[in-house]
Amino acid sequence: MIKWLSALILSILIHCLIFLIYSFLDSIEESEVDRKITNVSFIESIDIEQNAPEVPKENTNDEENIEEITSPIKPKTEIKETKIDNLDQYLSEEKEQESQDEVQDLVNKISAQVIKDIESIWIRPNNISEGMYADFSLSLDRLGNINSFNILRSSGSDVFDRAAMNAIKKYKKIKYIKDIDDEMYRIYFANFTLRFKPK
Amino acid sequence: MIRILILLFLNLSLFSDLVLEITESSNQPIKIAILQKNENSFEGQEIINIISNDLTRTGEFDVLSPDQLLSIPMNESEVIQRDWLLLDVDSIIFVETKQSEYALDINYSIFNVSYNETEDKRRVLGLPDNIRQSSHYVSDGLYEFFFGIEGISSTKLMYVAKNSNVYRLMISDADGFNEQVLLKSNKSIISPTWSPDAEDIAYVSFENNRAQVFTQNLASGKRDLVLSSNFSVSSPAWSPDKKYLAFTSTMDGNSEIYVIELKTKKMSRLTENFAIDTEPAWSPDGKKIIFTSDRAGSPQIYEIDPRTRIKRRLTTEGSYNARASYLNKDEIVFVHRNNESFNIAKLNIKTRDLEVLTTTQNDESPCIAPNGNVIIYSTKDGNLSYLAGVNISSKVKFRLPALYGELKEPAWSPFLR
Repeated sequence: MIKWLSALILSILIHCLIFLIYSFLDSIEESEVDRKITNVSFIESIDIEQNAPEVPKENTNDEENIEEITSPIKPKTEIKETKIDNLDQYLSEEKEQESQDEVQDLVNKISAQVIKDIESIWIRPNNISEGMYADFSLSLDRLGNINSFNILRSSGSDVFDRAAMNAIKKYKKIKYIKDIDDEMYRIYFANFTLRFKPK
Repeated sequence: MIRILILLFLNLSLFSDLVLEITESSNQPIKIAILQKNENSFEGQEIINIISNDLTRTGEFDVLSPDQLLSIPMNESEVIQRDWLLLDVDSIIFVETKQSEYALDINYSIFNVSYNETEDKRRVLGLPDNIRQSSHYVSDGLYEFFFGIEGISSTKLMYVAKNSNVYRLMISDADGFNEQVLLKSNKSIISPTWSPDAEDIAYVSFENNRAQVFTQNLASGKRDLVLSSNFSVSSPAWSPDKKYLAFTSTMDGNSEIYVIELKTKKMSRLTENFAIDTEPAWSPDGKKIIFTSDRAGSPQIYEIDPRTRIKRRLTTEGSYNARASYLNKDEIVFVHRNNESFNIAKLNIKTRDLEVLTTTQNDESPCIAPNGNVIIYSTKDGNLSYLAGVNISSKVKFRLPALYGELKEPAWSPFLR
């Protein structure tokens, strides 16, 4: 009986734990979906956002830092020790942040170019109703060839879906992919979603 | 359990879901070639010419001529994909004609060049003496395949042709061919309009020296005077259910809007003021009527609910807005004075977006095609009126050939099923 009860309690606890973790992850994902840069939206990695270093915005200016250190309000020695440690840390974190920003910039540039390319190919039909859109999942090889695509969400109109698929089929290859590094390809462009949503 | 959660967490953190959103589309036309399948025939070429003209007139297709092609396959298996990719052709339309003594059937298939496969196969059954209409049905099928709304090549146009002082009420195919005279008069004929089922028409004739509205059955030719009155009756408009006819009359002193129930001849007056109220047109659901009124000092478009008589002004921009009709429940099309020229304009009632659609000087009498994507209107070249059209999607304009002097007062038929 005791064994049965403890198994039951343990089971409830495990289920509660799973539920809490799932809710936590889900809330983070939802908050990230809203991030949009022009026409590009990212559902970004959780740890990148969560562990993003809180780097002071203008900590590159050494003179300002020195001024802070020499400020009479705070004990000199303590500040100096902290400053040296932090400076290294800040510099490395800043470097990391800069590198992340560079990655984002490149992803944005490529995404904007892909959008522009497809918009020049896509001939939209005339039966568009308000809010109509279709989502397609694209799989690219390392050279940017669109190896496969499939419909994730139909617009409800065969003609609309067909026109969108014709544009993807006609696009064939995203030429900018071969020039990016393996990590960016794997994280962002190996698989991504294309949404056709006319204004 | 913890390992699974860690793996799950790692997995989520390693991959991003990038969503690229396409909101704008190309203004380029769809590039196609139309070819005879299996064997060449005179009729087959005639059909292809009619379809090419129909599709080219929309401005939404670029139909390649044979001299632009790198190879001419006789069927799908002979298509060399590379040749067509080089020309950037979207689709090849193969047309096969099967003619017998009593029938002329057209089989056509749509071959997608990018996919290198046939996407759809269709058939139009017709009669040997009706080759133009059968070809128009093929054009409409192709338009529907690519753009999702019905094509209007197989519909009809009605208009008034004036030559010297002779007026002819004419009917023709949507491309201006196959003209027939419905009524000939030495007195003016204006405001022709179709019933919603395309079986009857209504128009204003001055044959008795005053404006009178007649209805006429197209099959039997039987004419009826809608209202016996000594006063002017004009601007007829059928309700979408064909039960009512809205019109303008001066029977109560000045020009007002009335509605008559055709079966019972029961009449009701919708407007009552000292200004001129005219040119009624029904909303697609038949619940509203728009009309032109100068009650505010200049001609503007108003909307009225025939049951509650509640009115509201729709146009505010410009000193002349008249002859309106509904494009859909949110948009209207009308004549708008743009600086010194009269143009056809489109207004979104909700967003108040006004778009001037034409560029000629004296445009009037706009009429919307049943698919809501083309507007035909009359305009002037010097002193001569002619009919012109504008495609709302592609903005491409076209002009209809005139055989009988001046053409004016166009009315586009509903879909003929």
